Amino acid sequence: MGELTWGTPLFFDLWMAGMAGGAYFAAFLIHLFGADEEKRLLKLATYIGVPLVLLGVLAIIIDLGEPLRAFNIYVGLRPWSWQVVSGGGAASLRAWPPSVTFHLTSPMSLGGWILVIFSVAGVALIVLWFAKTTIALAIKVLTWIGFAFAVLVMTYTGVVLSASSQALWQATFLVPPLFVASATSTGLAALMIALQLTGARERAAVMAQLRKALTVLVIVQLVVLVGFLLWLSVAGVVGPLISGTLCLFFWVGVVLLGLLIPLGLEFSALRGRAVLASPALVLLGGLVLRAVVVIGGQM
Amino acid sequence: MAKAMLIDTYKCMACRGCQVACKAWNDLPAETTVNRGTYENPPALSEKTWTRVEFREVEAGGEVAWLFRKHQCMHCTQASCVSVCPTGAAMHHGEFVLIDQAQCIGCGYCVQACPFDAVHLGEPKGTARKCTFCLDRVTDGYEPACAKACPPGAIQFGDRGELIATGKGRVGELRANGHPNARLYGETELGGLHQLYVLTDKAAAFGLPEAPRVATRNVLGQWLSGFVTAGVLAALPFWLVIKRRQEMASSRGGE
Repeated sequence: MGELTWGTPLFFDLWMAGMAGGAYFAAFLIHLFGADEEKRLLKLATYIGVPLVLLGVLAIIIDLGEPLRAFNIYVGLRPWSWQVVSGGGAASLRAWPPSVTFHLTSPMSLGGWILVIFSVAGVALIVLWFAKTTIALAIKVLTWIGFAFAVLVMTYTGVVLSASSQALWQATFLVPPLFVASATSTGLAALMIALQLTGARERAAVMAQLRKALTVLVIVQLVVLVGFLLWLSVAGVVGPLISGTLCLFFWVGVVLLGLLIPLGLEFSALRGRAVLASPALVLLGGLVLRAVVVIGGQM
Repeated sequence: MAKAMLIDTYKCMACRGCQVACKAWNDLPAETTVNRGTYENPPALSEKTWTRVEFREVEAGGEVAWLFRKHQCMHCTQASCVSVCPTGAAMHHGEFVLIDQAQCIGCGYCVQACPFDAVHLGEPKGTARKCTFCLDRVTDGYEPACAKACPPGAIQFGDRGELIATGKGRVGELRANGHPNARLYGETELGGLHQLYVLTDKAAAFGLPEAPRVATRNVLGQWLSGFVTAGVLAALPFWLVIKRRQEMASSRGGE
């Protein structure tokens, strides 16, 4: 194994972007299903999500070989060249140099745009909420746009890995489902921590519901994870996860601390006292999951 | 007519003249390496080593065969690097695959996507670098540096159709002379490669994927699998836990 092409900044980004998308996704559904009429959670999710996405993007940009050219994902600045770039599905909409870069087959190109639109929608919502505007329609449209792009953000974090030639990432269709499940659970966990820390009114009743939802999410994630491991075993590429240098992180970090202990806490006598233990462990498990999958794929 | 190179692994004697010629023409620096108990050197392709002869020992019928393969970018027709590149820096130029060094941001996606491990990030600018098929020679009517240097003529440069015919002839000769697994590699793989191999054994024996596939072949399905999961999650934890509890609460409130 040589030096990792994708290292710490990338898996931190996948974790943070996933958490941001997941928090918004969870908060939107909780609001939609009537448990959060004042949009307190949705606002919390937006306040958490936008900085998380921007931090993640910043981490990736700093990690780039050519960080000062990061904008090339969005625009092609080639003032010295009128050459049209095409081929392999790349569509370069060249109205005038600079051109807009949008590459349908590249999950990273799509991901770049998804993160921008999600962040812009989030910032617009924050501005509207702070302005205490009465343009209800604008807020409604923006929250739905945010919801759609939250789903896209969560999915992108998985698809970006699976569209590769690394055995661990491309042998299964379950990387995006696993990352979406983890994004939602880490997002909900972040919301629970934020809610607890901001001392919201009526939080005990809401927290009880969120804890139940988190438990169901952890169970779903466990099921997806088992399917993921089975699929990889059949493909014969599960090795880097379950044995070798990463296996301790996988079994202890992802499975035990991230899933089994939070699940056990829910059914134990401790659950009333250790309110933040489960969410904190779920957050940690999500980070370790991204780390072992990103590093394991390159071994 | 599309150009290509035909690499005859039977003729290759692993002198690594191609490596030296590549470094010399492309002005690539040397690598600092240590003795690993093999003549193979350097240990892997990198941003400053664009081609390299791989040494493999394969046992067959009680005898050890020493297999040599020149490894470099295959200049695929269905190129994974071109498919995944977010900026359009990895692109086709005619039949060749190039990475525009002025456009590349060094994200490394092509490195992860390449089925042949032929692209690497690094010096001098942190961008993705690989074999250019000596485009600066080929467009001026010269053969690539590696083909020019090859003493036994194991690397032939020319018209792709003619090279395929030559390669098939060579495979027939090899099969008739003690190499039953001999095959031509690259004629149809990934829509046709522009580095063709006459292999004396199976592709796997040379460290090549038997059936290389484009990295983005399932990308639509991968997106859909994520969306379906989001739908399931919307239904399971949230609809089940939140919605039902709200309904229970409101029905209690209405009593």
